[in-house]
Formats: sequence, structure tokens, C-alpha cells
Amino acid sequence: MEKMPVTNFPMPEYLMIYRPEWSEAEVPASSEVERLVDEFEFHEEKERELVCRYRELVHEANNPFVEFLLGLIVSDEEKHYRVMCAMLSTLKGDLLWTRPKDAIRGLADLPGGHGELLELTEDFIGLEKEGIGTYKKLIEGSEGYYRGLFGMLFETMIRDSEKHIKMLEFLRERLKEA
Amino acid sequence: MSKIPGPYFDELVFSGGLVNESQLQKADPEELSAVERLMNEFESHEGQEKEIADRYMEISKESKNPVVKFLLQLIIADERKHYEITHAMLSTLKGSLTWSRPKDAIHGLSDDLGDGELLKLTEDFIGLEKKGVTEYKKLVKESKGYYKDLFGLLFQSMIRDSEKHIEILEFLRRRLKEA
Repeated sequence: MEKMPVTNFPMPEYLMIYRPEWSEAEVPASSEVERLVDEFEFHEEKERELVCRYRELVHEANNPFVEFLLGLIVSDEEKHYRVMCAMLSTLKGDLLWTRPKDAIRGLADLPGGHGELLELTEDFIGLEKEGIGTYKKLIEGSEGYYRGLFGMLFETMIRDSEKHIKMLEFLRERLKEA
Repeated sequence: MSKIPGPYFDELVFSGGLVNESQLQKADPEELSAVERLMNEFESHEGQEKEIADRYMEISKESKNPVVKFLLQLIIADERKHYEITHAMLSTLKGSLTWSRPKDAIHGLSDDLGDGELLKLTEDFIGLEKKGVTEYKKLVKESKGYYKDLFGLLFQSMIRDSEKHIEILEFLRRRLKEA
């Protein structure tokens, strides 16, 4: 009998819950995944609380400068909450064999080959790296302005760009694997 | 040096910004042109930020894959914020240079921030963010390997955000202590 070309079959998405290196014996019992779901749920609630507390502080501060700074944090925290919700839905969906609307899907069907998306991803990694160079120059140029506020704001942008590079590198690796 | 009369003089001077005292004393046209040069750089950078956000947006729209869209949306949200921050900084510089108060500039740095309660709350939030980093690190470990390490990547990005928040809060703490 001809051997079935296993590699041509993409891994069903629900199986991605397991680590690729796990052997059958190592696949965690559902209780382990359930424990992770519990932890995510706990953390999701904490993220929600933190967003509320920051919003309260913004409201109480009554100073546009403080509001501006805290506003930057609040928008990130809101994003963290949404990402936590999406991760939790993804885990729950795979545990219950359902497909919640806000779950993260598509990891199993990334476009294969070394196509346009891979090229664009490489381009964006380059752009983000260039951006860091520009921010560093702007930090130098704006040193001392507004008690270091501008420098601090550019530093936060550098951190974001570093984060973007990590995300794009992740995408590049997955695209190469596909 | 005679004090330059103007409604925002104190704010401009004490914010240590464009018109910091040394610059006022010198009243050197070279200093002014340096600020104008910086403003041009900011303007050019503002345009670049918008362009990058638009390019990410295009790719996200074109992509049919939800995980690609999900990751790009996270980046786009940051890029839009960068554009807004750069725009606010530019408005602040322009406002200082033209002695005006653009609506979207950053105000209040020289206002009375001497609120002990706010300082205490800022300290609390620094502590919360630090605790958050430790928790995320734990979650990175626990979710290692899940979804080809996508969860680990997302938690790592939250750690970077929290570190950024700590820097912002520490900056605020310093200003509050000075006040």
C-alpha cells in the first residue's frame, strides 16, 4: 500500500494546543489545560481590574499632563485585556471543540512558500529597525526639552518597535515553516 | 535678564522646555534655528509614522489569514499611537515657538502636581506593573509551546508594555517629587 503523504495534511488547529515536541505520552491531561484556562481567567479579571483602576486615576488626576501619560498606559492595558480574552477563548474553544468568535485562528493555514507576505514581513522588520535608529537620533536632538518628556516618549516608541520586531520575526518563522 | 511678559512664560520656562532659562538668557538666533530644525525633524517623522501605519493597514486588509490580521492589528494600534504622540510633541513645540496653545499640545507639565495622594498612587501602580511582569513571566513559561509559541510571544509583548509603563510612571513620580 502506498504510504500516505502525511506532511501534506495541515495539522488541525485544535491539535496546536499541544507543544510540537510532546510525544503521545507527554500530551497533557485536559486537567493541565483546564488549569491553564483557570489561570488565564484569573489573569483576565486582573487585567480588567487594572484598566478600571487606571481609568479612575486618570479621572481623579485632573491635570492634562498626567492624563496624557496615563492615557498611553490605559490604551495598552485595554489591549492587554482584549489579547487575554482572545487567548482564553482560543484555549477554551480547543478544549470544548468549539469556535468562539474572538479566538485566534489561522495559525495552521498560513500561506506557504516564500511568497509576498514573507517578503513584506522582512521589509517591515527592516523598517522597524530603521525606526529605532531614527528614534535614537530624535532622543539626542530633543535632550532636555520639557524636562526629558520627549526623550522618555521616544524611549517608549523604541520599546514598541522592539516588540514589533519580535512579532514580525515570529510571523516570518511561521511563514517559513508553512 | 528682564522677564519676558506673556501668559505662558512661567509654563515655558519652568517646564524646562523650548524656552528654558539658558536659552532665554542667550536669546541666540542659533538656538531658535535649532528648535526649528528639531521641529522639521518631528514633522518629517510624523509623516513617516503615518505612512508606516497606512502600510501596515494595507497589508492587514489584504491578508485573509486571521492570525496575520491579529498580529498586524496589535502593531497598527501602536503605530497609530506613535503618530498621535509625535503629533502632540510637534504641537507642543510649535505652541512654544509661536507662544500659542494648540489644543492637541501636551499641557500641564508645570501645573501644580504637588499632590501627595497622586504620588502614592503612582508608587502603587509601579508596584502593580512590576508584579504584573513577574506574573507574565510565569505565564510565558507555562504556555511555552502552545500554539507554536504564539501565547509566549503575546505575553512577552505584554512584558515589554509593562516595562514601558514602569518607565512612564517613574518619569511621573520624578515630576511629582519635584513639584
